[in-house]
Amino acid sequence: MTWFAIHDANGKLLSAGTVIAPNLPADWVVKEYPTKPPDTDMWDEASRNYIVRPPKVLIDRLQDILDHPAYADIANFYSNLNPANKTRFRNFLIKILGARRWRNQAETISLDGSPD
Amino acid sequence: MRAVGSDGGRYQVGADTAGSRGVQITTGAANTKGSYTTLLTTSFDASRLIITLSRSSSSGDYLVDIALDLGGGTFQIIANNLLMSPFDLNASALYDLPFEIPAGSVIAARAQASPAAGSSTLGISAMIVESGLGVSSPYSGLLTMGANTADSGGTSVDPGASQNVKGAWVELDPSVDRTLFGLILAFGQQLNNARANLFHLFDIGIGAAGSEQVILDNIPITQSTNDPILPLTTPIFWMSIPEGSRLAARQQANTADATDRLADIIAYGVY
Repeated sequence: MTWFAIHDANGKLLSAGTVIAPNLPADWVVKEYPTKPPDTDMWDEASRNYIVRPPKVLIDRLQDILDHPAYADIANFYSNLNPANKTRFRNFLIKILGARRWRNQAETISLDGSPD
Repeated sequence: MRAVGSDGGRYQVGADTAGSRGVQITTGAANTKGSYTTLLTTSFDASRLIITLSRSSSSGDYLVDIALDLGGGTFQIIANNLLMSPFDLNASALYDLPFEIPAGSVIAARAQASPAAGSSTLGISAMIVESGLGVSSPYSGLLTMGANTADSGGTSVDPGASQNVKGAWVELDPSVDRTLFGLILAFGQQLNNARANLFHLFDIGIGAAGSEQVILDNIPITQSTNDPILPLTTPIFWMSIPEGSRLAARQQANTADATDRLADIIAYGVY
């Protein structure tokens, strides 16, 4: 089903859907698409079109633990392990962190939100 | 278990008392409804049905159908694609439905879940309430608007790149097929469990694209790094929505992050 996107003269998206109102303001533009764009796309005001949404940037807490100055003792301990034990230790941390391994850029390293 | 309410009405609940939880429902394969499971056989005429969806075995988005088992393998769906969007595993989505349910009715449920949670379980509790005044309810079902069975979520609403400014309207239903008397809203977090602490304000509007009129404004939602989207559901907003109306939603958020600013919504119209 045809999908309509309505934007103003500045490219700001105003509304989108399959039913558009008649007699829209003269400076509004209606663009047609064969189907609703996927959620992996987003509206871009500059190009007045849908573009691919940039991927979410996630930070690896595992690397935080190994690299962050606040956890220097762990880094020192880790650096003194042989390769096999490094792998074991990494796998242990990955298991412990589980779904919380990946954090938002704005999140703290600590799981409870206490300052880094 | 049946108990007598203090207002003279009666209550009856279907639960898994052996596990201290809702009746356990198993979803089908990814984004596929599983089989129906009986929640409750009603002992009296009820004017209210309260459905609680809770605690899943796998992280994901869930859509649940509530139906009357008419026997012979026939089910009459009375609430379609109720959304539960937990953070990790834990959530409790409550739907308070003003439905007339006759005595002797068998209430059943089936569910689907997003891919990582396919063939998992969640708890569903059904409570019926008899009005203390013996007044029957004129309502019997929900019109679901904006469910996305392809990913077991809702309709994604993008507020755009400008923080704290309402974004574009997005269509939930191009033309409702009957007069509606109220709306329940449900929200989903799109399986994004790594968000900063965020706030959103949602509007609901009716009208063709480009001429939407706000009928509900600034419904507050929060998302965070450690909790599910809150609230998961709203109570009923009583209002009349004429047959043929187009329903749409828009929102604003306090972030411009292209992924974190998003949230799913489903609207359920009471009829």
